Amino acid sequence: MNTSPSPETSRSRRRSRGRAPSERLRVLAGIVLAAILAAAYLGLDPVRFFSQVRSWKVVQEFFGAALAPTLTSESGSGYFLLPQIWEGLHSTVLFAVAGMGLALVLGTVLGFLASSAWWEGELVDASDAWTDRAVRAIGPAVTGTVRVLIAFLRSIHELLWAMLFLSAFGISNAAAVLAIALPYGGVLAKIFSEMLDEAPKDAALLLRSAGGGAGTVLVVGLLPRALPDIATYAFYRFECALRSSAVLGFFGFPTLGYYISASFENLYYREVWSYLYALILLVGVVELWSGFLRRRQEFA
Amino acid sequence: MTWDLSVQNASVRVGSTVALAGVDLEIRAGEAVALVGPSGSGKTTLLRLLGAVLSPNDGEVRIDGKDVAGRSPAELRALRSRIGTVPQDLRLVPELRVYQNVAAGRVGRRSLFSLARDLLFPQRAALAEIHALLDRVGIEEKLYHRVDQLSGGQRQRVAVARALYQEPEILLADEPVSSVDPARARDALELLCRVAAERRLTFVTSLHHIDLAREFFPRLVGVRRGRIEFDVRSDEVDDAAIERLYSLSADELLEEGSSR
Repeated sequence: MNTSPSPETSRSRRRSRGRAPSERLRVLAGIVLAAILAAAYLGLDPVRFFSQVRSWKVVQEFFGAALAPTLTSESGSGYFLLPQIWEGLHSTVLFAVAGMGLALVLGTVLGFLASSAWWEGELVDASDAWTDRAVRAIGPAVTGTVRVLIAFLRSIHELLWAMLFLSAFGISNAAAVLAIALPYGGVLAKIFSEMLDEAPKDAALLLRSAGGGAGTVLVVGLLPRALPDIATYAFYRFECALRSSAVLGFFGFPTLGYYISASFENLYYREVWSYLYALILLVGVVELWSGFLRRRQEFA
Repeated sequence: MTWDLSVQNASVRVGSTVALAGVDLEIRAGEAVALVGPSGSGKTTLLRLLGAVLSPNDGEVRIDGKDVAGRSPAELRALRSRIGTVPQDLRLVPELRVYQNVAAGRVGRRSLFSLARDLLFPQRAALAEIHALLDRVGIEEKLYHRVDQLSGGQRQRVAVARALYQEPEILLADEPVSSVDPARARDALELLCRVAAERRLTFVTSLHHIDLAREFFPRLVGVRRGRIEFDVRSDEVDDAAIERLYSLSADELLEEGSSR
């Protein structure tokens, strides 16, 4: 019988050891109260909510169009819509892939630096060698600085970054890619560092006792324990990047949003729905792909 | 020739608790020894001293005749790379495959780059060597399985193979029978004793199961309350000594009671 708890069980125990029931109830009541207060302050009245709709006709037309998306233009010229849908999808994917690629590099580097795994605890040599002393000395400062940088990157929304880069670059591909890469890099770095810090260190410590250096052991003994979670989260963020990339079209980039806004301004709702369905399809394909990879468990 | 071990008057304190109090122990190269005693007696701490992962507050530990204290980090790593450990909780990387976990055993003699290559694109020769080791421990068909798909007994065999892949001079095991199904306890000990004997490794294990210790090991070292209670050939150990080893003194009974 195994008497010592495995790292997994001690982890889940830490999670489940929550608050007392009465305290939990108070927290829940607090959340509900805050929501009600905010709604009241904003003048949201559930009774009069639907009477505030200005034009039921627009609502009806818009959602009615959902049932009748079109592949030919509603402008009457009768030209085929597929090339535009293709162009929109194509740019949406390109901007998302480029932005996410840069974000992954940023997130990995900053995430590692923001984690305390590389300088704190038993994994790091307690020796007097100057390299070990230096790592222990600068670790907290580096992690603290990088965490501030990460917070800055992700507290500015990608649309705000886009506005900034638009005024700097004009409509250039670099503006859209950076607008996605910076906030996404920040979010990925935060999540990666937390996953690294939470990953069980037992295997890494064993490899230390087999003579492994701290850096090697981090990569071989600790990183694989966090990698499946990291990969799953990165896929989810890629899905978000696709949506962000599509919305950037509203600023004039050639992604789906560009075509959606043009059709919307002309009140061509059936065209709008064609583009929306294309986006939904794209997100669905990514979902299937990541699910397939997860089932094969090919992350390690 | 494998390494001998020598502990002289070693004490280990953790905070205000004394884990080991002036322990003397000599183990010859190639010898197999079981550390017996109740849980919390200091067996695991003693194993950590022998594995050069812990240094004593007082006294000295010599491995292969050389003092462990005062070694540079590089020398310490070189020393540890020749000491294979099978810990109680095995400490495998469950997300990785069996051959990757075994290959990680050579972490002490590989650069990050070459180890990463061994894990991601293993060379034919390395795979053949790992396969042969898995064959020795009886799970050769599990080479490409993920460790989290294996049973407890199979996982322990992976941990043994990882320790052997280090090409160790010393093999240490912490309560090997508690990592497996009780019915497999005998198999686990047989395996460890067999591989240690084949390679003439110096082999030290902690074991609270006194009958198994007597059956499998020629020499028993009784540890109680941080001290060596007896150190005898297993055919010479008498029941009175064992009773003393596991008996609780009055204040220990009190501690047991208050800790529940």
